Amino acid sequence: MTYTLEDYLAELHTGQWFGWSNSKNKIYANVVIHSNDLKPTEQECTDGVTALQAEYDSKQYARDRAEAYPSLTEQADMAYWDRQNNTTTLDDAITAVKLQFPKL
Amino acid sequence: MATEISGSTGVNKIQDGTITNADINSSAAIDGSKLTGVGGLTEVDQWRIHTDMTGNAAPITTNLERNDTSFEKIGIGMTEVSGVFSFPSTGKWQIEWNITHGAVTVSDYGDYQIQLTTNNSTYTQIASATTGTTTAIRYSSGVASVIVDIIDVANYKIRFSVTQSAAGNKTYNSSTRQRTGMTFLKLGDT
Repeated sequence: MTYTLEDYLAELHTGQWFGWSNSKNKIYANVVIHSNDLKPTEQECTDGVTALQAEYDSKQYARDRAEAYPSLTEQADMAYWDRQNNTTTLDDAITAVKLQFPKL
Repeated sequence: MATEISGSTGVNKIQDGTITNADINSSAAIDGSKLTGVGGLTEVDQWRIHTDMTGNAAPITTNLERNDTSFEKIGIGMTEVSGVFSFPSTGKWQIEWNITHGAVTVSDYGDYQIQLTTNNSTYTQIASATTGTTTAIRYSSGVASVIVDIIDVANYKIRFSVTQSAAGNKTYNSSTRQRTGMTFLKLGDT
C-alpha cells in the first residue's frame, strides 16, 4: 500500500473536516478545510505521509506471518496431536514462519 | 389484401384477444407519437463522496459530486445543497447507496443510513446498510436501497448519514469511481 496526502489527512481528524477544491487533483494546494481545524503545513503533510508509510512498511513481516501461519483450526489440531504423540509440529510450524519472515 | 378497421362502434371494433403476433406484418410499425406511458426512465442520476473520511458524518454535508466518469444524467437530475438532495419532480424514486467501509484501528461496524424528510425539517431513517469488518480483513461493503413515493418536491428531501462504532475507522471514497455513492432512479409517477 502506498500512502497519499488524502490518507494522512483522513487520519488527522474525524468527520468530513477536509475536501478538495479540485477533487481530480488531490495536491496540497487544493486542500480545503471544512471544519475549524487548522490546515497542516505542507511539510507536516509530507512528514505525515512518510511516517504512515514507514509504519506500514515496518509491519510487513507481521502481515506476511499472519498470511503464512496455519489457521487456528489447524493449530488446534496440531496442538492436540502434539500432546498425544509428544511431538512439536505446532511449534515447528510457527518457528518456520517466523524464520521465513523475520522481524525487522 | 389490406384490411381497413373503421374504429366505429359495434362489431368493427377490435375485440380483446383477436390480434396475435402472427396477425401483424413484420414491417408494421407504430408511430411513436401514438404511444404514451411507455419508454425508458426519465430521471437517472448518480452522485458520490469524493474524499475519504474517518469516523462519523451524521449527516454527510460535503465532498459530494455528481459521477463524472463516463456518466451523464438523464433528465433534470438531483439538486444537492450541503448534503440535502432535492428531487426534480414527484414520482416513485429508487435511491441506492453503495458503501465501502474500512476498519483501520480496531474491528468495527458502520451504520449507513438513507434519511427522508417529509416536512423539509425532520429526518427519519428509511433504509440502512450495516457493515462490519476487522482490521485484518480491513474492508467491507454494503448497499442500502429503498423506493420512496415523492409527492411534494418542496418538502420531501433525502440525506445520507454515517456512524461507526469506532471513531478511527474509515469510509473509503473516490473521485474517479463509485466507491461510496448514491444512485437516483425515477421509476414512474407518484
